[in-house]
Amino acid sequence: MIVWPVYRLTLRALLLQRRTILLGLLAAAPVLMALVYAVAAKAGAHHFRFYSHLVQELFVPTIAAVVALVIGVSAIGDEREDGTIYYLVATPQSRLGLIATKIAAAWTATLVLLVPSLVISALLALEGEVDPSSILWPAAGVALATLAYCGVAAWLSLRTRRPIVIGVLYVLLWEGSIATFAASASKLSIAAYGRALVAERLPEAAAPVVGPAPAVVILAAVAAITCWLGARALARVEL
Amino acid sequence: MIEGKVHDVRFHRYDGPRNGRLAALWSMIRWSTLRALGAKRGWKAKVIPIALTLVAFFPALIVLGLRALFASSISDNLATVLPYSDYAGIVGLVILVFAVVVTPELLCPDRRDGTLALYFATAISRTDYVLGKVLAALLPLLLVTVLPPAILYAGNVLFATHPLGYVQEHTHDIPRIAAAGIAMALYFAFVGLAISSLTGRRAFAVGGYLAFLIVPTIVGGILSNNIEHGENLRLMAFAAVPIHTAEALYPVAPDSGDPSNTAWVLVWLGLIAVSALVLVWRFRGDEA
Repeated sequence: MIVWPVYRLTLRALLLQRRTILLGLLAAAPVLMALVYAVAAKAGAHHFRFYSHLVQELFVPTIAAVVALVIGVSAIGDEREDGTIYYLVATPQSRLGLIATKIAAAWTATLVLLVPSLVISALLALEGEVDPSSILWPAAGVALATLAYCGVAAWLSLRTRRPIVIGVLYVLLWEGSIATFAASASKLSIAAYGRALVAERLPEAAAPVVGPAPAVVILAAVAAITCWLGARALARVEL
Repeated sequence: MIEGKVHDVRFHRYDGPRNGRLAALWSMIRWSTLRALGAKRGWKAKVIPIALTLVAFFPALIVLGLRALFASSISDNLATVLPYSDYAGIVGLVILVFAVVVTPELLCPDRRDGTLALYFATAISRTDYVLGKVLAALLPLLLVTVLPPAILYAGNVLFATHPLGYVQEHTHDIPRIAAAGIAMALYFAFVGLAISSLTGRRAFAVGGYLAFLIVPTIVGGILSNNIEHGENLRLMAFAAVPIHTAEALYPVAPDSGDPSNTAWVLVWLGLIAVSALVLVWRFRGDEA
């Protein structure tokens, strides 16, 4: 299904831009934070509690959401703005394949920026207490949440002229505000399912809303459905 | 027989009224403000600013509605259930989102569409342009920072048993409401415009503005609880700076352990000053 030449071109375009440097700086914020903690932590500080707050409150719901949203929108939005999307849809590739390729490229670019930051943050914050599961569970949460965000961003960039604004409203108003105090609202929050996977190993900051298996299924389903909706939109909307 | 008509379509000198620099500036401010709120654009561009403006009024309207309908059956004193000092904190997130949506709209399209050169070819100078855009950002922001608590105040006066006595008792709240609203609007306008001036793409201005406000807030919040002498890192809460500055205008002591009101006001001043410098830097040269 993945159209590899389009994947390579999109990935290169996404990574070799000035905005990628800015997004890289944003992704580096948790590293800086973990470094400050490593240098000046309170005596007797609970490293796992700090790391849990870092991942659950900063990394998944804010850094990962914003980076995936911007990159996911850029993957298709830039082609729409530059008018090159006409050449893309004129190729004998299926719409579903093109959207899946764009989402895959955006997801890869997002992970290139986020995963090193997550690993370095864990190494700095947990010092000698780090173990594979304290990196793998958060990495799984970040990976699946960003896949879903990239899918939503790609779909939004085909459905509206203001995908970032709508994405920001969702991340900030729904996920960041309503879903934090309304238990049922968190069921409609991508970040909540990403955090559910993180909480499997790091429950100190917040308890998971669902178990890991439903979280994986729901996030994968969000990515698949938005991919299908994106393909539908690519065939129907005025580009 | 085919009849033809020749139209005089040559370029002519403009011979209409010349209203001067201030009129040009006012025209730019007016249309920038209206455009940021979705005027002369499709309904989709209007929905978000209008919805957010309405949400900013909700707390005042709910309290006043309860007072109108159920004042006799609710035991709590509804006149004091929503203090003016708390209003900024309650609708702070709505104001933040409103600013994030509206301010990039004022600068990014001009840079992206290449209309800056057209502006500077008129009576508007670079300084006028920046000042005009600051005012154009302030006007819609004042709609959500000053007007809702002002409506609440007006409603409280109307519902008071002795309206004149209420006004006498709460005279000081009128300048406080105005000053708090202006302080919040100034902060969001300057910071939003400074970040928007760095890019021609509205989407990245929105993302950058959001990241600037939210990420340091979370970083400061987590670090302040976990590192030695980290209390002052709470001042990194850039999203909360205007709210604390607005609250500092009321005679309410900050929570124990929180930075002082003076510290919040200094951060507010500092960020506005840096933002103003960024705007001057971005619009000083030929490249702008």
